[in-house]
Amino acid sequence: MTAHSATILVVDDEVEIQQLLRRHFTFAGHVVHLAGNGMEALELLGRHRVDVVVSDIVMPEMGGVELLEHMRAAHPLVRAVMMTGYVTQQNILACMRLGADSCVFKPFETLDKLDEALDRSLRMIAHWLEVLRQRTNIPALDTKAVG
Amino acid sequence: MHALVVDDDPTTRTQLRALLGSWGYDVLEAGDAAQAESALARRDAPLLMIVDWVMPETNGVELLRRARSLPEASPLYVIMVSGKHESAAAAYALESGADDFVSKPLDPVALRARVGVGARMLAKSEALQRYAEEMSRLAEARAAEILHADRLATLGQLAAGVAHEINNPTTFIAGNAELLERVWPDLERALAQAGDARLVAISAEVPAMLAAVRGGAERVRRIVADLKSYARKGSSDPRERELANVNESVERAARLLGSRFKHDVRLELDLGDISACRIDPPTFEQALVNLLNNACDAVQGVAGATVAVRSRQRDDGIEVVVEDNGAGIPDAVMREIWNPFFTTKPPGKGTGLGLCISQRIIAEHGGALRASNRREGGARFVISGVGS
Repeated sequence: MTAHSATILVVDDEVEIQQLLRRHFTFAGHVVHLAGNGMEALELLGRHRVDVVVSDIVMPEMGGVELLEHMRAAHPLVRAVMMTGYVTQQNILACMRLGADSCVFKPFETLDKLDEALDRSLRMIAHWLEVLRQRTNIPALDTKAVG
Repeated sequence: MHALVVDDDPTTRTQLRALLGSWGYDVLEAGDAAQAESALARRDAPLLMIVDWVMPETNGVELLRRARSLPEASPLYVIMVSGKHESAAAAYALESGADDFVSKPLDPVALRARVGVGARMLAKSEALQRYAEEMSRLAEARAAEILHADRLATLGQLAAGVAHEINNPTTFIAGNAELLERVWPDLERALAQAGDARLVAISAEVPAMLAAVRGGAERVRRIVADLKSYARKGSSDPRERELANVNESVERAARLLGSRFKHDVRLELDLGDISACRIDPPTFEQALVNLLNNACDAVQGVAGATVAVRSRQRDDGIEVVVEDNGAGIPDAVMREIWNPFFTTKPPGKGTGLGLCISQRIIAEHGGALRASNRREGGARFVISGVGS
C-alpha cells in the first residue's frame, strides 16, 4: 500500500460499486471522486486534479474504452486502471492499446487485486515525478501542484 | 379378407361366391346398390368388390362413384364386371374409379389372377398406410425434440447473460464484507470498551458472519464462472483451442452438476497426473456434463448410488472414464445409444441428442468415446486419445 494519499476517480454505472470503492479507497487514505459514466468522468477530470482513474468498461452514454481515448488526448498524465466483468480479448487489448496501466476483472476475488493494480499506477507516478525532479533539479515536487 | 359381390342376378352371385370361397375369401352378397352400400359401411367392410355394371335402379358405375366419395373410405379394390366388350366401356369404368374391368362370360382362371392383383394392391396400400402413420409419429416426436433442444440452446444463452448480471452484485457483496472485516477489529475494541456483555457476545459472532458472507459470495462467483465457461459458444475450429488441463474441465463439470451429487449420489473423482492439451473447454465440458448427467440418471434409486470419474495420461492421449453402478446398458440397445434422438428416458427428460453430440465432440478432439458395461454392474463410458 502506498504511503502517499492519491486522488482517485471511480467510474462505474453501478452505484453500489461506486460506494464500495469510495469506502475502500477512503479508508486507505485517498481522496475519492465518483462518476457514473465516461461523460461524467471527463467533466470531473476537467474540474479536479486526479491521479488515477479506476473505471468500468461497459457503461451507458460513454464507456471505459472511449473514456480512455479522450483521456489520452485531454488528460495524458492521468493514469487508468480498468475494471470489467466482460472478459473479452477485444476489451483488454483496447485498454492496453489506449494506455491503461492494468485491467482487473469483476468480481474481485479480493480487493487486494485492485489494490495491487492501483499501487502499480501510483508507483509509476512517483517514479516519473522522481525522474523529473532529478533531471530538472527541482526540489521535492509537490504532487498536488502538478497538473 | 372379405369380398363383396354385387349383382342383381342371384345365379351370378352364387357362382362368384363359390369361386371366391374356394380361393379363401369370405364372401358377402349384395343384390343392389343399397345393400352394397350398407355392406361397405360396416366396420370390417370388404376390401374387394366385384360389381356388375348393369343393375336396375343404380348401376355399378354409379355405386362405384358413391363408394369412392365416402369420407372414410377404406382402401377398396373394385373389379367391374360387364357384358360390354368395347374398350371405351372399359376406359369409362376405369375412369369412374374401377381398378379393373372384366367382360362376361367370366373366365375363372383370369378372374382369379385379377383378384390376386387386387389382393397385392391392397397389401401395398396397407403397408403404405402403416408407413405413413409411422412417419407421422416420428415427425411429431422429432419436432418435440427439436423444440426442446432449441429451448436448451436458448437457456444456454440466457445463462450467459444472467451469469454476467450476477457479477456486479457479487462484487459489492464480497467487497463490502471484506471492508467490514478490515475495520471490524477497531469497531470491536470500541464495543468492548462499552462494557455491555450482550454486545460483546454478539461481536464475537461477527467475524464468522462476515466470513460466511464472503464465502457465499465466492461460491456464487465460482458457479457463475463455471456457467459462463459452459455457456460460451464452443468452437470446432482447432485453432481456437486452448491449452488446458482436462482435470479442471472434469471438476467444473462436476461443480455444475453439484446439486445432483448432493443428496443421494456419491461422486468419486480420481484425477491423475495429466499434461495440458489443446481442447475447446465449452464443448469438452458439454460432453463431460452429458456423461455425468446420464450417470446420475442411471443410478436414481440405487442404494449406495455412485458415479466415479477417473482421468489418466495414456500413451495415446488423455483418458477419462465415467462409471456408474446403475443397471447398465441393455445389450439390445448398446449399438443404438449413439443414434440421434435415441433415448431410454421418458419424454421431456432429455432430448436423446446428448450421446450423439458428445461422441462427435470427442471425435473433433481427436479422441473416441466408447461405452460398455462393467462386470460389477453399471455402465462405463471411456473417452480416450484426447490431446494426442
